[in-house]
Amino acid sequence: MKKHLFIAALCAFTAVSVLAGTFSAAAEEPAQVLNVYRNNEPATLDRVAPTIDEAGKYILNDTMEPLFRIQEGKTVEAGCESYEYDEETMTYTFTLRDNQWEDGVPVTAADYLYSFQRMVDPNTAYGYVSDLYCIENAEAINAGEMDVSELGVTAPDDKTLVVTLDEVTPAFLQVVPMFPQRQDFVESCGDSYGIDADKFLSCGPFRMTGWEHNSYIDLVKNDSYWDADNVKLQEVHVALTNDANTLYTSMLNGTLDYMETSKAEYVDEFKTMEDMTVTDIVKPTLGFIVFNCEDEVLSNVKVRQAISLAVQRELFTEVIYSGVAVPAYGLLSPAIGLNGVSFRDVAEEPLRAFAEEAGDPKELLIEGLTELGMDPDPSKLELTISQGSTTESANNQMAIFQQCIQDTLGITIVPDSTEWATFWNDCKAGDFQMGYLAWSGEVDISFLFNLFLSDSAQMPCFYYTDEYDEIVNKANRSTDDEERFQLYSEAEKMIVVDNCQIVPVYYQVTEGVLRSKVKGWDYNVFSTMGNKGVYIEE
Amino acid sequence: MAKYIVKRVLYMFFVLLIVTTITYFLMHNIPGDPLTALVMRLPEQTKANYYAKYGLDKPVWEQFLLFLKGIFTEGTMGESIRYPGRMVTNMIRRYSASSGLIGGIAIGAGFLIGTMFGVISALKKDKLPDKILSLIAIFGVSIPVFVVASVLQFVLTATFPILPTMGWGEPKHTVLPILCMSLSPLATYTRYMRSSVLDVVNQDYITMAEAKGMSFGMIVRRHILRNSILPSLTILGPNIADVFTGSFIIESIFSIPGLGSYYMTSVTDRDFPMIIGCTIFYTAIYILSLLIVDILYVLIDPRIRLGNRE
Repeated sequence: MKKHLFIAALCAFTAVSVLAGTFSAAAEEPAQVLNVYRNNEPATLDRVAPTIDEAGKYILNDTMEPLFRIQEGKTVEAGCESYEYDEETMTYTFTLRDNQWEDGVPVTAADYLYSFQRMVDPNTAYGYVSDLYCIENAEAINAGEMDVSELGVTAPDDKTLVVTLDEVTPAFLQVVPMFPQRQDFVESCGDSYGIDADKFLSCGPFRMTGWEHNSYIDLVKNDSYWDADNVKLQEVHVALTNDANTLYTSMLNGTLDYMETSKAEYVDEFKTMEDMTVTDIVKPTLGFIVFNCEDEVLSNVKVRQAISLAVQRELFTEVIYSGVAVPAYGLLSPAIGLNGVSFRDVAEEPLRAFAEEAGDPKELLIEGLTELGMDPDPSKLELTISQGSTTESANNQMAIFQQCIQDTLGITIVPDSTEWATFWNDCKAGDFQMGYLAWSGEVDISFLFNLFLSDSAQMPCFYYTDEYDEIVNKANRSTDDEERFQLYSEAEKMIVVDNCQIVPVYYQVTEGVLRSKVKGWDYNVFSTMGNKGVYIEE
Repeated sequence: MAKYIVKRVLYMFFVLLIVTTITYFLMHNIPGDPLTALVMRLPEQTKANYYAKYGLDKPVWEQFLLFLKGIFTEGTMGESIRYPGRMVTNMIRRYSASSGLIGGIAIGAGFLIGTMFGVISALKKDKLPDKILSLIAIFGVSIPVFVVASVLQFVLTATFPILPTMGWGEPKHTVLPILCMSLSPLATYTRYMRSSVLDVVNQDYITMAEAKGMSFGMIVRRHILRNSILPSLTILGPNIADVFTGSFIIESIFSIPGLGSYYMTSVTDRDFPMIIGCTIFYTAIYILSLLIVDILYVLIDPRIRLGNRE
């Protein structure tokens, strides 16, 4: 009896030990949970709505499967398994993967077609609709002259999508967001599509399980996703806050895994922590002063050039951004390029060479004033520089411009700070002299150049030339990367030197602080890979 | 009293109409409109369609009449332009609940504890408890709420991680915001109550009560509290209104899905329907809270009569 008891006890002990071992081994596996944040509440998750914002796009990268994603500046297949391009007919034929919506319904070519049709429908008012004008009949449909069914996009079967262009568009795959939208679901939601967790349907690496507005969004791994085997994260928790202090505290107590900051005091502290990795992230954003070229004084290019040369960019970046931002002497930041090659690696910043050969900016100013038939005495000239922000930091930036320009040129600079809507309204109405702005480029290199085209006239400089239009339009249609770089380089020189419509000041840089246990992070600012490849490794 | 309340409610609708009208026309006269940034890239025709969708292509007076029609016939204040698909009335209902919960508890706790502190402080005038409570009150009034919130957040979530840094959905998420929001009203009520009690304790009827042999507790409850609480009640009204519009700063720091942040961003975004909706809601709550305070006056001090004495 005792022997039996002993054996039973031994078996029990062994079983408990094995189970305990199993559980402890399981406990050692790091939880595949990622905690990130967005600065604001997504206005919508309807990809084609005019209010779609960066926060919304971020969530969509995780919850949707576009035909292509951008990885390290290059286009890679996602929802599309393969594609062919017929140069003669300018037709793309996409073959789709076997993917499913989160409710198990297959994703079909009709879902992508529906999204294309919604984008060009004038009632949708999709903000970037002009990017689709290269598709057959798109412009006429958007103008209300044709029906959406006549768009040059067809779905011959569930797995094939055909897009016919009517002009060569090298950036087509990069700039057009090819996200699927299921017609029955979108129509059943009506105007509420994409504004709540239950008004949204996923087909990407993750699906949404909760959206508490202005607080958080919860995502969990989508097991019906075609590439679910390669998705390691089980949960992604997205906090919605823009409070720097809250983010900093969350990084310290481990409830946040990544934050971006430009605050030197935070960065210095994170750099001393072993479990944090700090990385410089060059943004595609340019901070610049735009001239109203219709202004009596600023209509002279020499006056504009003199002001541009008087701005001390190194001083500005050092004082305002503790040396983190990069002084700008061109239009495009080093983040922008073509097929993974940075524009700045192949094109010199045009303002640098001009600064060396131009000589004394004050003499340039006097020449300009003389050409205008005005009093050449700079001390009698007063110019106003406006901005759409009233924060302390914004006022400091204005103070630096004021000091630099006054000291170098001897003119009087009057800073004028108002809130954004008022400022932008004045800019568009031409009721300003110099405006201080920041504008972000996009993955398509042509984006910032297109702002200065006479038919878009989005940049309120009120000076547009045919010569510039010709160069940029030629570059936009070229399929030769080398030629495009060359043409954009000429166009950039026209904007910042020859026509001097703007004064480039700085390229934005932020510091990305990542918890070291998080692997597979993609720092590329244009990446649309989302958190698909991210995982946790202790 | 019923007649008085009905009269006040009718007045409320009149005031609401005036406030709505003034706000509507002021709002449409400031530079910029909600679509300025949104439709920058749109072709002219599409832009026009979009303006037409929100009625912004019509003259302001016509927009105003349509807006009033919407309120009276459908009980709706339109759709947010910044957040399309979300109806203003639904947003106010949904987000004022979180703001009301956090703010309501904070103001309630601040009022009760502040009143208690004020009484203790006055009764122990110039002694240690008075000095400590006065110090707390001075801190509470003078330190900005965002400083209090940042410090408490750092201490209680990073140095001693016992509470969540931000978020919403569980009771633990409400502790820090309530703590931060209650400090200022606590300090205010402490100071109001202290000076008011000091005034009351020197009155003849208190001496009389003492002479009659009434117990200390009874004197405090029956005479001191009742007579000294009226000034605190006066400021309770506006405080109740603040509760529902929420504290933009606290909501932003702790990621609370409240109305405050929507109200603030609607102004910068020129989200006209949201601005006007929040203004009407805020005004109604303010007027109602003043009415409630007036009724409380009567309950606490029967000498006060509402309306004209017949």
